[in-house]
Amino acid sequence: MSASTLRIALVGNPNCGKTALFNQLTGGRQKVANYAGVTVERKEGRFTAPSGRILQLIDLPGAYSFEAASPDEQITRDVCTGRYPGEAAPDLIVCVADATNLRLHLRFLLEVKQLGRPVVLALNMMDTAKRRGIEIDVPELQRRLGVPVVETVAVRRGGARALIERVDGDLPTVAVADGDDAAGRGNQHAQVRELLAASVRMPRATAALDDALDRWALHPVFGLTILAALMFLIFQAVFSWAEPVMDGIEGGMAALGAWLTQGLPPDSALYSLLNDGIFAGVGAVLVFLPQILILFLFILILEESGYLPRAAFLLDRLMFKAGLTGRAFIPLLSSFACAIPGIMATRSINDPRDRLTTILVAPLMTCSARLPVYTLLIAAFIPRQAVAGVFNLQGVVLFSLYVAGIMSALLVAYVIKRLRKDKSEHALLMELPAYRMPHLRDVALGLWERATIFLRRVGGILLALTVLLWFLASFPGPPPGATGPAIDYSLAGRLGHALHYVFAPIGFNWQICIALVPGLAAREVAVSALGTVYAMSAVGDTELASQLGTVIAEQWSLATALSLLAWYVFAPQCMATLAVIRRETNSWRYVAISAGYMFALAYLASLLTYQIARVLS
Amino acid sequence: MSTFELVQGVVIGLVVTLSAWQAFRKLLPQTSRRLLARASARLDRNGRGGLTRRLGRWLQPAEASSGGCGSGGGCASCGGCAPVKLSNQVEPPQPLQFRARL
Repeated sequence: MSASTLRIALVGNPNCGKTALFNQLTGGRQKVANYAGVTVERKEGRFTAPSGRILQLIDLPGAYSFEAASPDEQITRDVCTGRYPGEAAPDLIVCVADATNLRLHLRFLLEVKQLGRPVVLALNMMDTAKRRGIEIDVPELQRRLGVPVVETVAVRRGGARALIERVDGDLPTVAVADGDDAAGRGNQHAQVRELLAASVRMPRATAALDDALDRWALHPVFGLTILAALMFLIFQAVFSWAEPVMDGIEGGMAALGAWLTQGLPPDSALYSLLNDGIFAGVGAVLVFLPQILILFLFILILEESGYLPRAAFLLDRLMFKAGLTGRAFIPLLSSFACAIPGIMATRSINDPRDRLTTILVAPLMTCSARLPVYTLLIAAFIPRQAVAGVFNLQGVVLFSLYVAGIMSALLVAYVIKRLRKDKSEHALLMELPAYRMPHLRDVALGLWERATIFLRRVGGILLALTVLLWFLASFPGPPPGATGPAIDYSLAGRLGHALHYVFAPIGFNWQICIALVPGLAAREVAVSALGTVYAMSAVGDTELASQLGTVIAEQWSLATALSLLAWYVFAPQCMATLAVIRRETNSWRYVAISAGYMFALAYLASLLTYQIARVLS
Repeated sequence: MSTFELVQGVVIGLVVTLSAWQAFRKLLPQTSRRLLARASARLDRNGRGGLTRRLGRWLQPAEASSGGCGSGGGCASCGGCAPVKLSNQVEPPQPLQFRARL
């Protein structure tokens, strides 16, 4: 490392704005949200200070204390103390504190000071503090603490200028430790009280508006009603708002396909690759981008507003009864985007037993990769009619599928609770952040991230698997004199027919069986695979084949469609998720348990759904 | 064989090979990195021609600079980089430790 490079660690209590500050300084785009536990790993970034000095910034998970209880807190402790494998202790520690909640945050600063390293205190969210009438005598606080104190507003452009100027200058002198003994640590609360009395004037402990909102949002009856209504609204919007854009994408893809292949002979392999493979397959998934973005728009707004921890509080009793800790809420919520960050977010759970339960049930949450499958089947089989004159039936079914995912996770957690020997429970202890107006920039960045993730997947793994599936569905070609579609004689066709024996009892035809195989890589690949398989199975009517929804509505029974929906509620069709379970548990046994129970549940649920639907229809 | 059929065969062969490699890289990231590193080391060694060594260097797997995939960044998604163990990064001590109950 060059002499002009300074390594700075950002530490602080959870949800004080460390990552927002990190993004502000480095131009990074790490996820920020208004709840504790968003960052569970160390992140690194660089920026060049006005003096030309290179500052290497390390963003660390939030910690309430160096007496680390959870794996993410251990990372913070180990980096700051220089015990993190392969990494020296930072040259400077910037302790970020929420200026509206100094009573809690200053205690951690006192612990940081005890490390005996140069420390700067960044009083973040100073705008909110001033709005709430909190007056902080910064020079007095600085004098009493013996460390430099700067004011920051991490979410505002230029809000970190004072911090940059401070860290770009000479290193502050090493903070004087206040005694590293147990008595010293126990005395920290008293020290904080003294510091606050001398340098902070706080009109009231919490914001009046927050209290008023919480009287409704945390009410045992109204709170749950508000939560249910919000969720319901989200799924209604997913179906109602996305349609015009989806139609546009569908039309655009069809026009592009026709234009690109106009010069090719219609019976050539290249024409088939472009039309039946790439455009029928990839196009079938691409149309779901608007629905995914609408879903994430709501999730991001809820994340930013500070409402989500309230939802965790509301659902704590239910989760507690099911054997899940309240701290599982955020990991499970993250799993609605994708099970991978959800499983990784379980690092914020202290108890290994609770963490394992959460890891095992997280893949049951409805990740965004399931959305294309759900909406394809719902749009094809569920009529667009109003329920109670207000609600869209398709939205109601989508909402039910999400609820089915949640209920199944609670049920599995309950079974695990019954099976385990240790019946002790851990009460939820979590910080409720102040409500905040969502920042347009953060929401837009979040949506941009989701869109790029989705498009990268479509242009990456999805396109690759679609091309491979097209190849397997095209070769070997049909024998001379064959009358059926060429795919029947191909490798993929034969595999589909072989798998059909296993899946016939749950109503899957051989085309679905083919789609399940590449769907193991990522769930939405099943949609592109169905698009390709049906496009290649079509004899003559290529126009019809390109409309996957229309084709399956004509060729599948309602029982088959419902059975496939039930399959996707449970099936562990994502190898990356299983790989992360292996990494986080350090055990293949739990991967086998996870995959095994989910496949068993998926098969059983599909079997029941199919057989009951067949009898009823 | 006509020119069109020849070109078509080459294009399809190329697209299918690239797709197979892409799928392999995404689904088995560690194995693909190991393979690339081994191929790169074999090509980029003393005594090889300039072009071969350049190809070896080109094949060398890039070291990822990101801190990881934890909190919804670009790779916080299925098929992302989560399962990859970076060669230049020491794995933090986070695996769960399960003890047999006495």
